[in-house]
Amino acid sequence: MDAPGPRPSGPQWEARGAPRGNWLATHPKFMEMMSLDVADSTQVYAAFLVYLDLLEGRNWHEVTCVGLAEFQLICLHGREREAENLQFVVPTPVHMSFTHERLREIMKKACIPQEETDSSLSVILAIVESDSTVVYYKLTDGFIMPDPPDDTEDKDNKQWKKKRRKLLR
Amino acid sequence: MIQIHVLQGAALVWSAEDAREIRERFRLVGTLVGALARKPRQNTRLGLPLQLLPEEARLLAELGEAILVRSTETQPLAEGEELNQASEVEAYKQELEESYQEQQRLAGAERGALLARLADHIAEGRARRRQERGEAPDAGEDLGLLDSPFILPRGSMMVQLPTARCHSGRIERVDWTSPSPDWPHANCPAHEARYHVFRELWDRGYYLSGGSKFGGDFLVYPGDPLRFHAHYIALCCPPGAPLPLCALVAAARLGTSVKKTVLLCSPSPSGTVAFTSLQWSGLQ
Repeated sequence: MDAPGPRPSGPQWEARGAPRGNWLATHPKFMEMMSLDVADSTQVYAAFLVYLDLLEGRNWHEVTCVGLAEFQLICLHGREREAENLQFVVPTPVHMSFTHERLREIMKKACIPQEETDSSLSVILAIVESDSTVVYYKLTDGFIMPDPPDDTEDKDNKQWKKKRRKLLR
Repeated sequence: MIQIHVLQGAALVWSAEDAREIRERFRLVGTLVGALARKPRQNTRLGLPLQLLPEEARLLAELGEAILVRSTETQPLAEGEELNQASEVEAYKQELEESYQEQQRLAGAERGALLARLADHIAEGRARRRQERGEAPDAGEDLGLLDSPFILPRGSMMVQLPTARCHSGRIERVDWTSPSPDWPHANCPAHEARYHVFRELWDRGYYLSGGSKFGGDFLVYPGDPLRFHAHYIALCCPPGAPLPLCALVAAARLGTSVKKTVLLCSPSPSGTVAFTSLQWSGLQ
């Protein structure tokens, strides 16, 4: 994967497809991640994309990078808003595959125990596609009940639509 | 002792009392797979036998509450048994004939009563038709209908289809701990892993059913499936099996859209089972 990533528009571009310099390679955060020297370039690239997405795309309050040497991964610690808890994000390119045990070991190492004792091990797996799409899925140790169906909202919409269709026929 | 009939790996319970006990006492649900005698051409309501998952059958056998049996009806009869069977067949045919005669008698009597009630009507109709045709009225023919003997066609006869036998037929016991053509699951590593997870979830008090409708191994309910929706889709991940990320995304996305949490389950050699919940993060 050596695409230069999201292309900014503007005076840097003289001709289409001919960037002045590879801005990504000289980005300070990217260089910091490379210097951690724990992961290969594809994982660093994925981690960098997720870093940008969280900070710039989703306006997270803060995001820092941490190396997990034994897994050859860079993971990110971040807070969505100032008052919220720290969340642990594990970026990974889509072609990697993990065993369930490996995921659990990564979870144990990536999570730093929080002050409140009731928070269980939880990480967000950020899966990066070759077209830079990122999807975020949450892995938690143990049984997490699903949210109950939102009765009033869902029902009203569906039934209202059905009634309208019948009336208009 | 509950009898579970095994046939080429499928575990079937034919007794209604046993099926009820399995659900009420042992919290095992199974699936009804039999056609209903009176409503055969539909799949919404099915009847006995109750088909159990291999894990459910093994659980009952392990608890000592059930035995696995297989039918030996296809094997040639021993001498004494042959005579027995022939006389049973005779007795059944005799019963059928008696029932037919009785039905014919009752149907004939009912028909006679009906004709008697409508006698005037019929006579009127006859007289009118004769007038139209220009014939002379004839009083003597009116009772003709009642005299002809009534034959009930054999095809209209009502037959009782028993849905239970008074005895279980010729069976022999099957050892659930060793593989055989009718019970191939024993010692199979995939089955062992699934059973380990099943047993752990069952021990925790959940109700379980097959998960193939949602791409998983089991569905996990907090109570009887007739009263609750499933909370989890359990996916068994045997130790060492790689999970491609695409599969993880597909499973998690399905779980989100059907409002269930995907549960990754791995039995460990130490005997415990590790559970990890997989959900959508909520970040759009």
